[in-house]
Amino acid sequence: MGLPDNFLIAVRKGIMLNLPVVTSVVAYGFVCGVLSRQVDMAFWQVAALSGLMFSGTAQLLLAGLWATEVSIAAALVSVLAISLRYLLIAATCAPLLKSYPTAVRYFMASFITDENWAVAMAHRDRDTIGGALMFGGGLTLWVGWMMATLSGWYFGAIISDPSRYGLDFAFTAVFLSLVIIMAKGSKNHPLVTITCATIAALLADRFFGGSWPIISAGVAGASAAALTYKETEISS
Amino acid sequence: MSEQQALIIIAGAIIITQGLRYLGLSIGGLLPTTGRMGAFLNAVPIAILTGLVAPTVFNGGTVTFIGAAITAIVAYYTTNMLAAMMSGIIVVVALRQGILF
Repeated sequence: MGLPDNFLIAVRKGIMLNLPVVTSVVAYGFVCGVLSRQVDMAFWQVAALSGLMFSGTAQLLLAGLWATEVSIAAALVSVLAISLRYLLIAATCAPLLKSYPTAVRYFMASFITDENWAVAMAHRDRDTIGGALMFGGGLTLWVGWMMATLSGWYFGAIISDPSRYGLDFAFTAVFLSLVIIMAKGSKNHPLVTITCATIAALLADRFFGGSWPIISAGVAGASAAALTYKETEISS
Repeated sequence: MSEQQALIIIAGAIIITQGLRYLGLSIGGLLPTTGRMGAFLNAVPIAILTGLVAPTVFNGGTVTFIGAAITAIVAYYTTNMLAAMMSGIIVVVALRQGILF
């Protein structure tokens, strides 16, 4: 069992389809690189995270926690919480990758992110070439992310006051727009989820701090979604 | 942060993130995508990201709050992340420099 005949054509198509997406990824990758330099992350640390972890949200989160004397356990629990969605999106990629040899399948899965996953899922031929589309998109995003974060790190040294350029706000802006865009595409009750998650986060921030706002928001928001789902099921 | 502590966090973060991708791939269709459990799992990403930004948005002062509101409005109407991000940042910088008020 080898690679399908149209593999390279489909990978190239995935690259082309993800080119518009990569522009915004490069923008916040650069910001992530600058922030990493501001919190004294070393070059190899940024390169290892960008190249091997390949998760923008988790990397920005770590950069945010880096300066706060965070414990190893709290940092890793936060990463686990924010990356838990990969379990779900990788599971939905399983049918797209099932025709590939095992080693190839897992290698391709290393490149799953929100952006190329969404592009692959939105494609009408996803059952036949979706895996290769996702992989091609992943390669594009990987190259863009590496270049953006490492050049951000490099230029971070000469950007002495990041708040002057609003770069300290960039982290909030990136995730806030992600929340809104994801909520707009959600079929569930995103407003209920967001409201409950916000209340839980603010309470946890007030009384516990650290990464508790993230974890409390995750549990409260998802529970609210589950409860609302049950109500609509009964009423319909 | 010590060099050793940094190494453990970075290695752990890589293993956790890739491990979740591989676990997701291997369990494939076993995860519920419908019903109450499906709704719970589907809401996790939005809930987590909300928890990440909510404290800053609401406790970060007036300028941050206005910048966040602009970001959210632009994100809602354009669904363009770059446009939303840039609008918010421009407003925050303009307010801090006293250009707008």
